Amino acid sequence: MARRRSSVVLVSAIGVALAFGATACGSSSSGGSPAASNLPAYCGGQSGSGKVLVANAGFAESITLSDIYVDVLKACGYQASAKTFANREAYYKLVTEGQIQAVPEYAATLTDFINGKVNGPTAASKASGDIAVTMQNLKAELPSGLAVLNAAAATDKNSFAVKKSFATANQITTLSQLATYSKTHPISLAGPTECPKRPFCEPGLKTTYGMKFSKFVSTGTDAGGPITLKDLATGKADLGLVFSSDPNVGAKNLVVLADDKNLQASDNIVPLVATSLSTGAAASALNAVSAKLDQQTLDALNKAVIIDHGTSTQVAQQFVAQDLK
Amino acid sequence: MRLPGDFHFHKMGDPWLSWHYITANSHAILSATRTHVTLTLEAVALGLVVAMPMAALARQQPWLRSLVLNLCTAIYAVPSIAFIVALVNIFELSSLTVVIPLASYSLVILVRNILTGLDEVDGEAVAAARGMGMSDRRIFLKVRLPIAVPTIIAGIRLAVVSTIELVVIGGYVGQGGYGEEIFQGFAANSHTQLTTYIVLTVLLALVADAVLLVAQRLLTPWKRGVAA
Amino acid sequence: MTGSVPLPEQVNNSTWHQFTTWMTSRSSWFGADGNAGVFHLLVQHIWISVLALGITCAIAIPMAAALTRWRRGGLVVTSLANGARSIPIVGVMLLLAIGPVGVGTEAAVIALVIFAIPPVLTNTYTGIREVDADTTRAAVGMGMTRLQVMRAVELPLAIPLIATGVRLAAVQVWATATIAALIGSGGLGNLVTNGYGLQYYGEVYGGVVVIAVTAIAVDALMRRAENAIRARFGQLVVAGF
Repeated sequence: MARRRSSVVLVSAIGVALAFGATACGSSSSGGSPAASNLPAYCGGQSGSGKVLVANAGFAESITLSDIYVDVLKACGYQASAKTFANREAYYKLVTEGQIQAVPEYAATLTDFINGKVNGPTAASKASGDIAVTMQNLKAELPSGLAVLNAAAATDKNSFAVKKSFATANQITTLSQLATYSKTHPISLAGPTECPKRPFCEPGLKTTYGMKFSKFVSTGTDAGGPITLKDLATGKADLGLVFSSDPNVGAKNLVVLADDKNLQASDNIVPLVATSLSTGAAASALNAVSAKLDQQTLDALNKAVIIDHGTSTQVAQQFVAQDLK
Repeated sequence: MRLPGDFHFHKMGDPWLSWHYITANSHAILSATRTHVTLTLEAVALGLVVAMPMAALARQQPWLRSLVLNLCTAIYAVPSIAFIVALVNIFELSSLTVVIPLASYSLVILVRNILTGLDEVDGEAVAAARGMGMSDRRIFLKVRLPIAVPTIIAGIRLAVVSTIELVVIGGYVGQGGYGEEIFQGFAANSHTQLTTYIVLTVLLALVADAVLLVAQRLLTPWKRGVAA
Repeated sequence: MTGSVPLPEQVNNSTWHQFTTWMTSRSSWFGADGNAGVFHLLVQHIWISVLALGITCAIAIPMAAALTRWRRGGLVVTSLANGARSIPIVGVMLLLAIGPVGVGTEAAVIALVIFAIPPVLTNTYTGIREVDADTTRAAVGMGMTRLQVMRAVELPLAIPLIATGVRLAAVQVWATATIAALIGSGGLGNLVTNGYGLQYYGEVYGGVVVIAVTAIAVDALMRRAENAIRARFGQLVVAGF
């Protein structure tokens, strides 16, 4: 009985501590916007205010980037917070409704996503290998109320990977070579549910490369994530959609095939924002983030989270503290 | 200036649990705790508000009683992820997406316990009170309710503990408190993050259980010493 | 394995229209273009659930029987039951998926088993403990060994309560197997995750209906089975002793 009572006391003490911590934390974060003199240089000498909700698409890189956006926006005086969604489909409607004000986006995929919504799923791609062209097309098709800021140099290409052993055995290093192989041995393709309808995915592989598929293995909302990698590793699928900046691909004995016919437009990281954030401190801060995001830095961010297991919050804070002074 | 790839956080590998992780992420932990507690309290409060009239209705007729209880059981059988995703389209970013399903699940415990609590009041006590000249309202306040309170609070305790566990699935739609961190840990392939928040969920359930046990003792001093 | 066509771009209609379209199109139920329909997913769901429930019984019933022979067994049973109630199943499933087990059916089944053990364990334990001491003493007096007493007397007498435990576990497994779609193990949950992933709410609501109806049906079916078992073995007890 005595032992039971003491455990109750202990547990209650933790409870009180947690509750106390929670309220203390609440009061500090609701403090007013920082004085103009304390603002970091990336705010462009302006300060912002109001709530900003930043969405991410639920995979590591997207989460880290949204944490970076939140950090810089907070530093410039906004009440910013991040929210995780399953994918673009899940947050996009909320962005158009103005409920979400900022998203780290991918220029080419976003261009074709909106294009598909406007002109139907079979519309010809408007994304280009030239980021300037892609950005121009993207700006032209954006619904009212939305804007894109400067694109970063860093890209995260959609890529297609096969097992290393399969590539070596059949001497395949490019998607063209795989297409030739598939004409006699139709292959299976793993990708997220939307893959059969996206120009960069199954339809693109069919029309640009003439690939023959035996079946499509859906990975649900897992785009280049653990389910896709496992499907490839176990042989459930021969070819799978992965991300070029994912350090896990090499670690799982997979190899990315060269996109020798340039099916994939380069997906530069670009902030998609509500027009209210397209000028002023927010624009200045997010553009500063884009300016610092070169390929090396993005790869480093991903490695820090996925391989070295820093949390996205820690890694984001360090990026902001070290690279954005 | 750092070199590319050089992030100076404490590289701890990916242990199952790490004190360093907890101290380094205390802010995120506290904010997730606040969300988790809020969602739980909102859900159980809404559950209570709905459970009271349902219990009152169930006491009218035996067939109503079985109808109400069967309805609660049927709702409870509906998987949470289906219920939650069904509401995302309607409530979007509002916490109702998660609160409504969780409140619905709490009914199966709350309605049953409220009914059991009120049933425990035996006819003799009520007859005696009436004999003393008490009005129906006074009988309810002074006799029925005090006798039912321990059972109702026991129900609330159970509901809170099971709701704390269920909140986690809300992470799938970006609403889960600890659940959101758990889903992010999955995306980042981080054992530490997953285990930390799983342990925190269990700890929060234990704390809530203990706090409510204390509340139960304070509210029903005449029951002190009786095991819960 | 995915749900079914058509995709949202093709049906820019009201949610209700999407729902009726999904419910009435043949491809939703039978699958199309290599995508699994409801019936295929249902078979997967049944397979995962039966497998998990079978493993659960194979572990929990002997474990409960053994624990009744140990002085502190009751403490173990209550601690396990209370502990499991507050552990988030989703968390454990996701953890197994990124851990040594990897995504897929194995991780799902293991998580389902972990959480289905407590109800079967608790009920079996209570069922055996409630067997009258005089009855077991009589059996021992007839020259039965402890193992024989367990097999021929205690377990049969505990069957009604074991049936309750198995019913509770089955209902829980069926509902939780839905979440297993998140870690790529198939089953009916795929209707919801796919529909949500595509923001095609016709499939989401169709999936919710299918999942809710089957969950309630499993609950009702298991209750009938439990009652039938109780009726049969209740009589056996009266006739035997």
